[in-house]
Parts: sequence; structure tokens; C-alpha cells
Amino acid sequence: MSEGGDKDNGKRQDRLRLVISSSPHVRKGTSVERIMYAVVLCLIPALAASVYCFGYKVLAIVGVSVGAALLTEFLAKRLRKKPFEMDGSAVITGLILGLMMPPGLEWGQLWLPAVGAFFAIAIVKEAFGGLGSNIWNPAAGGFLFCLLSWAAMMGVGWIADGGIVWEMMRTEATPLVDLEKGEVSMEVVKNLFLGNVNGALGETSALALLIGGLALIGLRYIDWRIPLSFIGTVGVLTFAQTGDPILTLAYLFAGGLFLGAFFMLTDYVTSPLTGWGRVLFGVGAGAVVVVIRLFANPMEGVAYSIIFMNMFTPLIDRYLKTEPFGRIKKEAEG
Amino acid sequence: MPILADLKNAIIYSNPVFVLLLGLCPTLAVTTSLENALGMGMCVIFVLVLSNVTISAIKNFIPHQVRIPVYIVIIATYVTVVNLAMEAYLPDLYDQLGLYLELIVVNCIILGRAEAFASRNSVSSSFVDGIGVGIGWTLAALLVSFIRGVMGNGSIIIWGDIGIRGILETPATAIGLPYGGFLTVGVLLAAFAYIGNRKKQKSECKGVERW
Repeated sequence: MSEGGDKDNGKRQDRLRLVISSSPHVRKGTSVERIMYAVVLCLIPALAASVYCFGYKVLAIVGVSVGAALLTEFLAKRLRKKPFEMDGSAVITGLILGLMMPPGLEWGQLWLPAVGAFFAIAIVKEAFGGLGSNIWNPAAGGFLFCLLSWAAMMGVGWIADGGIVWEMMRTEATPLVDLEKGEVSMEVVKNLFLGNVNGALGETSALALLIGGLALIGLRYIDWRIPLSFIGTVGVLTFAQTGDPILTLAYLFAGGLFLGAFFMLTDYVTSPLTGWGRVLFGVGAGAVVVVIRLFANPMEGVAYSIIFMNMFTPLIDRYLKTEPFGRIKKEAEG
Repeated sequence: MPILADLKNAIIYSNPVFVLLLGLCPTLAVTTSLENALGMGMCVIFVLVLSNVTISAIKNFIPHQVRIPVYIVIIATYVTVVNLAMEAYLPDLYDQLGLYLELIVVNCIILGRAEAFASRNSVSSSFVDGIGVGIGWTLAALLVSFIRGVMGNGSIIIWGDIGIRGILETPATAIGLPYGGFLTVGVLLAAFAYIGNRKKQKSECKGVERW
């Protein structure tokens, strides 16, 4: 088929080109870059909420993370003798990783997001073959490496100075610590939803994350099945275990649940291809989150659940393969 | 010097960890400190050399069908010797290595060299191969435990007090934990494969076969 009507291909139009390609033949302007930068734009509300809550240091933390991600990507591509492209995937990884950092990082600890971004890009992504071949969501991998290596730094120092949260915070614990004690009111839930709480940079405001996530679903860049089944499973299981609707709401709006649901679980590379596969994927991740939050030692389980289900993705894809249209099933022999 | 060349070949080009991918289990398990890696390496060299020599010496008398049980019995004999000797004279190291010492019996490096090398070659070259592969494993384990020590603990310490402390102010504790062992070995494997591929390409350009 000839590649004629494409506006971008003005230079190629003057010569006839015959391209033999497999279906689908329908063309659309959507490209990797466009989707990636749309995701970046949809993370802006969360970033803005974070700056509003914690002050301008947030920009430095996220900036270091994004810069380190881009630099690592550039160096890794050089090492692999592959062209470096600004396809935006490294920007997203850096941005999400930055948003998972604690706000209380000192200026001297800004190497922490940089090391996390390096691990995410160099080990989780490029070592396995770059974009499209990573085994986990890179940001989740980088975050877990930081968490497991420098647990003290990632956990304490949650209280930031400058933003509005600083004025309000009197407890030193993160909301999930309070939740484990089982003392919540609607006021806490409201704060969790709007963002007047302590926590990692991007997790403060469930509302801001929800805006970005719904925009991505509206643009059809991500599948609604994954966030819905993920958040739904967490809600149902938490309610079944605690029996308290307010506490359940608080658990839903707390921590990185929305960030993971909309921006990390939906990563194309590491999520299943079929609709039911995605539902299964979301349900499995939700179950892991609830088990870790309510029964296990770590406070938050979103990153673990993402990595855990990422590794099940090939299996899910294999067993929930769709039948090709029109294929006749072989009769059982004998 | 053909013996030296054989030794170099065995250490580098058939390095059990980075090239043959054998014996990874003890590599991951005992590389938490340099002295564990060194102690384990000595045991591996001892068992490997003696079993290689023995199997090579009696290779014509072993019936083909039951060769694996025979190898295992020979290897187990030497492992028992090491085990009892270490329990008697180096009880601290024995406690540290624990189960992995006994597991040398089923270590795939030793069985692999018995099957692939000692059963087909002369006693002298089996001896050299045993030393080379054993040293290769020890060096690999020392490299892994060095990296894990520096990055995971921020210090390199041997026998309690000799060593350097405080190399890293805030070490990445994950590297010192079991999954850090997997990570370190994986990254090293990738690095060795990268260097190996580059050398291969260069020698192919010159038309010289190096490997």
C-alpha cells in the first residue's frame, strides 16, 4: 500500500513508495511521543498540588529525578550504540519517581532521587532492552530500590517546611500509620482526598491524581479496566476486612494508590494486552496491596503490588489469549 | 608455556560464574563477606582438584551407565573430608558457611567439570583445569563480595578488624541483602558479556579467532 496522504511525510510524497506491511492498515497521528507527553501533562496537577502542599523544594527533587533519568537514558543508549530519542518515557519515569520521594529530603540528600532514577533506567529498563522490553515499571523498580536500600531516609523526614502542610502537621507519622490504629473521621478522609496530608510528594492529593488519570482515560490513552479493578479490589477487600466505610475511604485515598492505579499499573509494556487480562491484573495487584497494608510489615504495598503483577503479565497474556476471528477449533482427536 | 595458557583459559574463558554460569547458588549465598567467599573458594578448589584428578585417573574403569553416581561418591568423599576438617580447625568459618559447605557435593561446577573435562582428559590437564576453574570461581566470588561489601555495607573488612570502613556514608543496604546478590551477579554478567562481545567483534574484524 502506498504511503500517500500523511501530512508529515511531505518529503516522501514526491516518490512512489510501496510499503508491504501487515494489518492493521488504519493510520492515526498517535505516536509514542504524543502518548508519553500526554501522560506528563496529566501528571502536572499532581505536581502542582505537591508544590502547593510542600513548597518549591518539590521542583528540585522532581527536577533532579527527571534530569538523572534523561542522563542515564542518554548514556545507556550511547553504550548500547542505539540512537537516543526524546520519546518522553524517561521523563515520565523520572517524574513519577520524583513524585514518590519523601518531601522531607534535605538539600544534601538530593542524590537519592538521582540514584533511584539511575536504577530505574539503567537496570530495570535499558539492561533488558530499553522501552518496550522492561520487566517492571521502571519507576516502581527505582522506588523500591531506594526504599529497600535507604529505608530510614525514605521513611523519616516526612515533614516538609514551606508548604501549607507544614503548618498543619503535628503528628510525625504518615496517614497510613494513623490508619493502622483505626482512628479516622470524615475530616481525615477529606484531607486525604484534597491533599492536606503528609506523605510522598505525589501522593498527597488523590483529587489531583484523579483529574490526571480521568483525563488519560478520556483520551483513551489508558484502559479504564486496570485502575477500576485495582481500586475496586482494594476498596472491597479493605471494607470486608475492616467493616468501616470511612476507614475504607481513607485507605483508598491514602498512599500512592491513585498514582499507581492511573500512572504505573497502566504502563503499556508491563500490563496485559487483553481486556479480561487487565481486569485480572488489576484485581491481583489490589489484593497484594490489601494484604501488605493490613497484614504485612511494610506500611504501603502499591509499589510491591505493581512489580509483583508486572512479573505475572506474560503468564496472563499467555493464558488469556484471544482466539483469532474466524478460526475453527480443531476437533478433539479420537 | 602451555600450562599457564591452560590455566588462563580455565580462569577467564571458562570462568564458572561469568561464562559457564555454573555454581551460582553458592556465589549468591556466601558472598556476603570477603572471608566467606575466600573460605568457600579454598574448599571448592580443594574438592575440585582432587575429584578431577581421581576421576581422570580411574576414568577407564568407570562403567558408562553408572558414572554419575560414581562421580558423586568421589566428590562426597572429599567434601566430607573438608567438612570435618573445617569443623575441627575453623569452627567460625564452618558456622558461617553452614549448609553451603555440604552442598558442594551437588555443586554443578564440580560435577560439570568431572563430566565435561576430567572424564575425557589426562590426569595432569585435569589437575590444571581443577585449579583454574577453582581459582576462577574464587575470583568471581571475591569480586561479587567486594562489590556487595563496598556498596551494601560501605566497608571492606576481613577477619574482624583488618579493612577499610566508611567508604560510603549511606550504603545501599539492598545490595548486601539476598536480592542484592542477584542484582550484582546479573550486572556483572551483563558487563562481562558486553566486554566479551566487543572483543569478539574486534577480533572478527581482524580475522583472528580469539575465543
